[in-house]
Amino acid sequence: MEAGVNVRGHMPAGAFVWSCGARFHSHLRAAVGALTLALAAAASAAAPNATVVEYYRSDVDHYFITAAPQERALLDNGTLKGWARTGVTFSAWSDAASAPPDAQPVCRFYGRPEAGLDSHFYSAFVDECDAVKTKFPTAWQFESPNVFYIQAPDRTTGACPAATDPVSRVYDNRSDANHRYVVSATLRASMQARGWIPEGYGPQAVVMCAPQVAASEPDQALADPAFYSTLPTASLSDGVDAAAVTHHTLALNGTPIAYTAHAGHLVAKDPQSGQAEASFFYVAYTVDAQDSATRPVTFFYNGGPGSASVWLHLGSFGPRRLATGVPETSLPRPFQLVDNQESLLDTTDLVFVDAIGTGLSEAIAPFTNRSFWSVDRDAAVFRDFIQRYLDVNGRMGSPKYLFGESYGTTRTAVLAHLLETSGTSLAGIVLQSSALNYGSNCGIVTGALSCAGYLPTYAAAGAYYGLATPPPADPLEFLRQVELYSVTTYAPATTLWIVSRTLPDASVLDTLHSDTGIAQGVWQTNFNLAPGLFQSRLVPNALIGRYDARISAPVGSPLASQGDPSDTLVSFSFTNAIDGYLRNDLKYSFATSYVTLSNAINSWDFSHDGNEIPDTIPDLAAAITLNPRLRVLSVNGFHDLATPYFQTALDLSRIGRPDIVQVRNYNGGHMTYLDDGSRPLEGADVRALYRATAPAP
Amino acid sequence: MKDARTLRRIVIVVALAAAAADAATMETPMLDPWLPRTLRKAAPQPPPHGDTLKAQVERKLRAGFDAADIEHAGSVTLAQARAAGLGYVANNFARIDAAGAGRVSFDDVKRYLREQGADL
Repeated sequence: MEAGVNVRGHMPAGAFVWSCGARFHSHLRAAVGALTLALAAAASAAAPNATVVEYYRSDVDHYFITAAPQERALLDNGTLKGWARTGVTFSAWSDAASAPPDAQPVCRFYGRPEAGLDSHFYSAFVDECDAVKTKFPTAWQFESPNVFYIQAPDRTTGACPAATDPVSRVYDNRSDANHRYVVSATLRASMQARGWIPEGYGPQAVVMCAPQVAASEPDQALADPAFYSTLPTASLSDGVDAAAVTHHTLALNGTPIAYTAHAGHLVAKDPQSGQAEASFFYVAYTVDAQDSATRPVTFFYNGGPGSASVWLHLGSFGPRRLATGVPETSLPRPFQLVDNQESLLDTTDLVFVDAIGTGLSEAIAPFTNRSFWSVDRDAAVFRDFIQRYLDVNGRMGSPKYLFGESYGTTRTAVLAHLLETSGTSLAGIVLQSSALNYGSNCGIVTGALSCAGYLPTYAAAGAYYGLATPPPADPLEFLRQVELYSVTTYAPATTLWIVSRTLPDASVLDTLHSDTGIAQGVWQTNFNLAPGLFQSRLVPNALIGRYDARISAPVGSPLASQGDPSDTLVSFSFTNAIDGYLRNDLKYSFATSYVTLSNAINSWDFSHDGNEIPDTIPDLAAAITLNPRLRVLSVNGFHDLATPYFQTALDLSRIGRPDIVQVRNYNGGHMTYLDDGSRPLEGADVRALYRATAPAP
Repeated sequence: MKDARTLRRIVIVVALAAAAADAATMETPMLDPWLPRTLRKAAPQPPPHGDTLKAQVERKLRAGFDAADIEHAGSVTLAQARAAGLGYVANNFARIDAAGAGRVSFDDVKRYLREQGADL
């Protein structure tokens, strides 16, 4: 950071409180009012190359803006503590050479903490800058004559040149003299309602004019005539890069975030030969006017294999989500799409991509969908899609993240190794409900495999239904004790049972009963209790969910009729919503149907690394070896009977790097993000991963 | 008799209609993760961890390196690394090739990765 530029933490005002905050600006206005500046009328063609990003510190109620990537990095990675992005940004130019002739340098002052200020002030008028220098040489320290360049309003009317948006200044009317620079009239009104005073030119209190960027571009609908098939032998004759482009705004915590959605296809190509391999369907959400060198981009995909990425797309951290009310089952179905207050758009651009032979993604001849239905070829073609996406969109320099769920974590581990090998470095990985080692999950591999990794999940489910005795006072501590018991007592006992059908003494069965609510008699005949049996034995006359054990339904009821009430509860809503969302909201229309689940799983080649079924922990370890700066966040639900949370922790502990691999668990099932209580917690942990991996200044 | 038969036929028709309606609205349960029946058998030995895992990681990296070494020379040139898609070698070739030999061995690569902080 250059000398003299400060974004300091707040110091409480001492005995000496500079009390001229309110008067400062009226004096300033009077001092410079006589001066005029000629405004160049012509709108410039020079594209803005800087983004002014706003931050907020809640403990002091201060706003701060900066266009400097180095400062943003210090704020984003927590070096300067307490600051969070508000989501408000506007465009500008970084230097005089790139700015149009009528753009003005914006000066910056730092109000010294000793004067009770600890806040910054900006002006696009040279005479205002000079006046502050002259009148307040002590309290306001002149930091820079040109932190960025921007156009200025007419000083009588506040009018801005064509193709620019007015930026208003509001002042907190307190002795600490904090200012906020707002682009939206709604935001200005809400600040005024909080008692902030508008101060600028014309009725809108305009002080700068920010060049408009993408928002002025019209939407481009796309009617895709292609016929897509998810059959194993299907292929397209050729692939076309084409996407519908739509512009949207999401209000996050009351602050609008303008973003552009691309929905369509991009062709993955062999990196060596350039041969087209497959046409990937993707939906990308990109926040407008961001600096691609620091703005992260994250690729999301579900698993199966054979599942489209609709679950993460419409359930987790996209701009819109289905409100399911999980684990309640009382909301009318199908569920409704709502704006997602936990969307990660404030932190990263989002790309939701469908695996080949799912959604609307298909192989290109001479390949067929089945060519990519193996652990290795699937990961390789995802690598080729990601590299093509980064290349085409100028994002090679952006921090890159993967966010896969279930089989998507299997894919992530293999893909991360392939990407790092190819020289495309990742910043971070989110593993959602991991299936990293198929050979450790007794719900998928049957017979001679211990189910000990499931015991804490059984206990969490039992406690949810009030069946654990005594009811645990501290649920997390209770689970920690069951985890310990699983490792020390239950795991070795299941090994003995598998080998010789020998039961441990009755006290073990008593403990298993009191921890889970499953009767001693059931343990006696099914000591190595598999999750499928647990689903039907926990609650009398009811079936509990595989994906979310908290959701139960009476045996014979419609919700229980397909073997997993938690899946039946939500799946139709997702299938139903994606079609209309793509057609109406994203203006991408298509001739065939979007296939949320294909039959890929039945002909999938699961072999990997010399094993018949995948163990991808070595792949993840290899990715970390190639890129020791890579950070991994693993998230699971306590009540997930598909990928048990404790087994995930055991699998990841094989890597032995808790400094790199962080494990977090929440209330909820396989899709923890559906739970309204857990989604914000998971979102906070994911954002912490991005802060920890933000590019060094 | 006739009435009873008619009644039974009506019952069957209603049942079929109900089944058809169910089939139309029902989804195949999504089973993720899952395996075909023939693959659902446990591995004979526990998976690698600790030093065994490290050795497997090294084998994986070495396999990629050996695939690029098309001349079986025990080392690769920048062009060979690039042609084989070993971007992590090609992009850092000058730093890995500390001796400036124009070729790097797998040991050179390991040394470079250790310098970067790898536990290898």
